[in-house]
Amino acid sequence: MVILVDKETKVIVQGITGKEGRFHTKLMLEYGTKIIGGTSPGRGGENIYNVPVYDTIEELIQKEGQADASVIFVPASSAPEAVYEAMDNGIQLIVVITEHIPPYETLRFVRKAREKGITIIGPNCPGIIAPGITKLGIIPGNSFNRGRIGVVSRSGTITYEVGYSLKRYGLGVSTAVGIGGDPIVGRSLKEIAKLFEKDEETEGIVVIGEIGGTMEEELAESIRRGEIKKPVVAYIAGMTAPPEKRMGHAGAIITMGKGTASSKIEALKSVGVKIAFLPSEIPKLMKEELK
Amino acid sequence: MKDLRLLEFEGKGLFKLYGIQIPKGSVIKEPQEAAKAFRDLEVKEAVLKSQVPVGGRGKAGGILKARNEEEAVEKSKELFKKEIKGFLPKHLLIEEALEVQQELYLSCILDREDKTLSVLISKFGGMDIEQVALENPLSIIKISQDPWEPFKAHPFYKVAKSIGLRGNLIQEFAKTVKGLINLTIDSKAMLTEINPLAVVKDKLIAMDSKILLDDDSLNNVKIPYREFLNRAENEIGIVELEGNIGIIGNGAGLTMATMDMVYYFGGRPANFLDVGGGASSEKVKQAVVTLLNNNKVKSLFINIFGGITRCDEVANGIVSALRESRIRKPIFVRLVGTNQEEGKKILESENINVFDTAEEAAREAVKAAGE
Repeated sequence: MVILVDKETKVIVQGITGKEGRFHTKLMLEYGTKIIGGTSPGRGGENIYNVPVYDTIEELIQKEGQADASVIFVPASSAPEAVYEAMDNGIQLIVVITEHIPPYETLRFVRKAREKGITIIGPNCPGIIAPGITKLGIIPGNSFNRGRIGVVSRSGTITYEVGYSLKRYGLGVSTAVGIGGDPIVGRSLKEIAKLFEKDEETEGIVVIGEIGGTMEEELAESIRRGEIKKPVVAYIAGMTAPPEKRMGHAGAIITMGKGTASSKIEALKSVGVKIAFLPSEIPKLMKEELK
Repeated sequence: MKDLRLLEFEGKGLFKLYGIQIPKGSVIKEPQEAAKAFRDLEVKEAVLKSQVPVGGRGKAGGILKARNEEEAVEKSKELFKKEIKGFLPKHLLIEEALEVQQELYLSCILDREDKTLSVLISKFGGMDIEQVALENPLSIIKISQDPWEPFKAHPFYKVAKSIGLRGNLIQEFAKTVKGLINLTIDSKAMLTEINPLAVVKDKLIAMDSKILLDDDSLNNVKIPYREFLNRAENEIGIVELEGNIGIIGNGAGLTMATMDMVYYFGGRPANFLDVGGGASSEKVKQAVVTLLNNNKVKSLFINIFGGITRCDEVANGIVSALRESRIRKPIFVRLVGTNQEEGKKILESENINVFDTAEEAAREAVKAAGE
């Protein structure tokens, strides 16, 4: 079992004719992802690596049948419209790779999706990979082995890092989900961790957090309430980030004493989560937990 | 996304436009202008405030008082020379000194968890608000405001009373909150904060301002003057730190992890430089040249895990930086992910150290910086 996706998941790519959309469509196809079509308004009728391109999702579905998931590479200025188009066409899982979407726009489509029960992953995320089965997004496939560890991460590149170090250690991943680095994202660490809790194949959960917000504290609360019982190993990026200096997108608005690395680490430790101080310590800690 | 922190006087300018009261004052760019600024205030005492984009300014000596024109000029000279947490002010704000009866806290944030705007209020405003929030979280009142719904004043009348405001101040408080919410929405701000919001007789006055805008939203902001907005165009997003190891990473998370790793192995980062996702070779070149030219940088640690970023682009960027800059420093590159073989070949043919794991590269970079 995997979470959110499986090998039958029918995927479309919005923004398939752009540089990134095209490149990653190729990589996804090579990985085995079932891409039934792509969209790019005005480019209908073309083919990208034998994937048919349509002007609209509506036409795509008429010709190719219903899609389960969409991966969005559309530039920030029109990405929100792409999300609404996917929602209006009944697509239940929307993975937004696009970076630089204004947070108020994200807030609006994320709330709309929640009302409709649609899952949004991202924005500004690397997507989802179920190693050996399928991938939706830009996660490098060769960094992951199939296995029994669920990975959920706020940082794209550290997700790859963790997949890679698990692989070098002889461990593998059931599903890895990069939830996105923006302040507002569709799904939280806790929500994805709960999916791993229910997934029979997943035995342990790796959580990659970073400074800012209170998602890690909320995850700790969820563990305290007994909603997550599987062993959790966490790594928090930004332990040495000086306060008052913003570190790229992640740099948090650290207000009211929350959102610091130490507040997150303490919250997680207090509910028995093992903390790694380097990403490369994760495999060893996880192996000990799974004994 | 990156954010843009407005200076106090810029924020106060916006406050005024949104009906939030601020102290009488003016902005100067030269110490000599302080005399006129003081004279125009027509007060016995003025406060001189260094305009730097960081908090904790008061404790760092960035706020001084003056009782006459000469003193105002002297103190201004002092402030213009004083670096605060790495920032030298280009402006000073000179304001009337006010007699404050009570200091409140008021802010409006884009709330990640609740997915709406949250207004935070406390009757214990001032420098130690973070401490108050930790020790006595119940003293912070939070009220949600949907940015697409109308403002309602009555919940804030109630809050005003609960924090001890009476009479005219109850309406003043709701008016201030309304102004702050409208400003937050119009400027698409991540945070607007008034700390302290001072009770001065029957008025509420914003003694300070903190506004964080988001650079991705600047095209959509409705605030009326925007000249400061182009500051967000800070090309490569470098954050200066105290140490001597230059750091470049892709993605904020990995770059922070890289920094943490350098500390872990006993080194000290000189900077934080995130080239972001899908960095072009040109951007990488710029980043590397910047660090090569920076005197305090003794060694470079470049940590790349390519997803959307391609290792060959990164490698070409590093190589062209070395062609452009004459300065040579030990460089340690960790290069993995999309197109890694191509990338490694490019670097190895130029005799640049490439590693498979970040730890090895970090250790070497720390060692080289110590020599």
